[in-house]
Amino acid sequence: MKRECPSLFAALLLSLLVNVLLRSQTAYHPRAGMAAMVLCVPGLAGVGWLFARCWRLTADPVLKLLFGALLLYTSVLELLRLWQLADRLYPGAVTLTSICLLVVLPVVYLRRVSALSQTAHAVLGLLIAATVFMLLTVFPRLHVTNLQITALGQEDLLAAARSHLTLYPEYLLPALWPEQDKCGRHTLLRLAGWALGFDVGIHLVLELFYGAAMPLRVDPLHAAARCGALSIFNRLEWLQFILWVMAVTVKLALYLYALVRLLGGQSRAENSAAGLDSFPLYVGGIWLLCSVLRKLNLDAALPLRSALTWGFVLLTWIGGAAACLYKRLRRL
Amino acid sequence: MTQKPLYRTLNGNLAFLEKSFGRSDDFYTKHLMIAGIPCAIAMFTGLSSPEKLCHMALDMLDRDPAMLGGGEGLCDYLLTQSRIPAEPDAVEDLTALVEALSNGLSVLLIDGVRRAVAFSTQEMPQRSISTPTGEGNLRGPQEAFTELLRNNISLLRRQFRTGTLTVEICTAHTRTKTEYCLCYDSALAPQETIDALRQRLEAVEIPVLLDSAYFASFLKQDKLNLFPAAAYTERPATACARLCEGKAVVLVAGSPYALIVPSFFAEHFECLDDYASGAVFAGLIRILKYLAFLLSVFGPGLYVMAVAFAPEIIPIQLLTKLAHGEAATPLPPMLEMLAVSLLLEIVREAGLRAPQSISHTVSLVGALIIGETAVSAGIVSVPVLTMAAAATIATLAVPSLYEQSILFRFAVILLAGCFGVPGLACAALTILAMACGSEPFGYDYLYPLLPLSRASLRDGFVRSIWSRLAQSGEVIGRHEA
Repeated sequence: MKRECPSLFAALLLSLLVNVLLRSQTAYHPRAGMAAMVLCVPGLAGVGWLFARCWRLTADPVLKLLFGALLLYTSVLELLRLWQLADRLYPGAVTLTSICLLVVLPVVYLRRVSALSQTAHAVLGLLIAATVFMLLTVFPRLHVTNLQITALGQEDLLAAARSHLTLYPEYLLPALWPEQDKCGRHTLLRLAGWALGFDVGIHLVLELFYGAAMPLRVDPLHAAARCGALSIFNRLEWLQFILWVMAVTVKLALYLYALVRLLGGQSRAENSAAGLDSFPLYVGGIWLLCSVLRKLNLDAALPLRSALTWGFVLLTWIGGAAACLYKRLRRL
Repeated sequence: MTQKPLYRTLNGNLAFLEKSFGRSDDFYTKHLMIAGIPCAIAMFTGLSSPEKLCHMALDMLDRDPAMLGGGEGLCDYLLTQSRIPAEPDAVEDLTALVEALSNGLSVLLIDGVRRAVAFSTQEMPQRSISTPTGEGNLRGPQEAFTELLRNNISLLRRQFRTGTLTVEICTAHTRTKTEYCLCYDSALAPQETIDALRQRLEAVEIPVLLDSAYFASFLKQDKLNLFPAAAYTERPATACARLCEGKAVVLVAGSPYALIVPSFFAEHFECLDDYASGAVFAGLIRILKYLAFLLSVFGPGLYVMAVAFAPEIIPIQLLTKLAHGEAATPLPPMLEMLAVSLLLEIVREAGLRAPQSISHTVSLVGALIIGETAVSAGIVSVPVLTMAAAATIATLAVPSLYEQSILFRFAVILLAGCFGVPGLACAALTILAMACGSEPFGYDYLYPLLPLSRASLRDGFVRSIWSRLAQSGEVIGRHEA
């Protein structure tokens, strides 16, 4: 009943799930994904854990600035991805500026950790309910005979592992949270497990739906949702889309909270809202970056973002190792 | 007003009162001698009754023996020994003297004494206790609060017959020195919450306090949040039920509405009848109320979005009818819906503010003549009118969230009409974030609806049977250390 210690696990999970939902094409065969998951889940959790350890040792202004830039860049990529999806689904209905405003403005109400946590819980619940409902409505179209039975090659496994090992900032964000040791046991392991499990599950549903044509479909999940029928509303894709927009907003709010923490804000009371003074600057900055990068090829930019994240993690590891070595040498 | 002590001389005190209230015709003073000591009675005739004073004090004083010890002795005698029911504390400064008189007390000023004795001789014109006008219920007590603070406290105490009911009466920092009282169950209410509430109420400084709702804005944590920080009730029974949940009730003199703090979202969907009727029926009604709220907020916006941006989501038969209706009207769906919704609000406002004798005419003209004529003339379509009317009626199913429903509805219509599906998503998330971000005194505003738990079904979306509800009454702060 009382908001003592709001958890951001739901917000982190939702941010990871939205990556799966907004994907424009499937990445691997579900069987390969399942096999790769066994190694990738602990791998991703391990990366996040090691990053958190090193971050505590080395968090200097340059690394903070780099992390902030990475979060800002990711926010812009998410907005561009959503805009491109909206433009494909409702051509000419929304401009980039309106998408920016519509997604970023509700963040005003998500400046407090407890608000973000509670909203993320609600949106996650709604998203899961809507996904289950969508599955039920397309259930007659799921055929076991659509499952592919060709033998898996090394390339399939590599493709699945590559997709799984896409490093999102969400795996690194818990390092920024205050009292991170109290945020629950095996947080990163649970996070990676749920995210990859959901990814594989969605791929499985899509294979049951499309069969061998699955890798060729653009916006496969959205197209599947279009087939769902209700007595009042023929199609459910608008419902899915509403929830995806909500999930992207929560993701941006999470990144904003992380940015505020990186810039040294919210030191007094963790649950106090980030000030509104710099919010217009944030909205303006995001809109400006989106406008500048509007013609960016997302198929290339998203893997590049993952590579940049990996690079940043490596840099932090090196910094952490150096700091650790320096400490030991000083002790000697 | 300075905290100056009373003058020692009777003339000094009377001169001060003459200066303060001399121009007021309802101010009454009378010189008299009690046991040979010069005294004076001061009161406001509309607030105090001279007959009551005579009956209560002066008659008795005439029968009492001569005083020893002069004025001081008389004062001590009245305060501590006499059978006369004087106020236990003497009036010692000029501010207290003015406040006592303004509160309707009669004050006995004694020559040579820097203290005065006050008598509770209030006799104020008041409205009798009537049935609630804004909170309809079929069963349960049918009494409503009135404007008199003391009456309201007595109504509450009559329902809540334990020694743990604490009533703290304070004077607000207003120009009019309005009294308010903070009521809570000292055994159930979390001390931390009560302290925080007391502190915030004490810090409120406004020129005038005419209703308990004036406090609500000061209790909000986030001023941008449209959800109310407190609930209101005019029923002592509801206030009593909230006290049993460990909440605090704030009563303001002159206001027949009690403020309940902290307040949760789910409370707007509850009423006394829920607990008087069967659990299954109450659950059904409660779910209907939630659906009505969703319809009132999102219905018109969803209609506009579907017609203007995503007609493919509407089944073909329904779409044909809607298209037929829309084709005959000149305005786009968004403007049409906005215009009809605004018109309905104007009709409602006019019906509410107009003198009672013509308010029915206003409603009739608005609803029948304008609606019928607008449809016949092809200015608005029947589906738009139907949806707007349904949303307006749905709003009345949850009257305590009326303001929010209207504001949200217009925002949803505008956003969905301008931007389609993303606009609707933005509006929905903003409303959700507002509800999630609301933190009345650190409690979850959406409790017990979110996070989903047993409590959500116990007394949230639906209610359990009484035997289960009775096992452990819901008390805020019970699970906190």
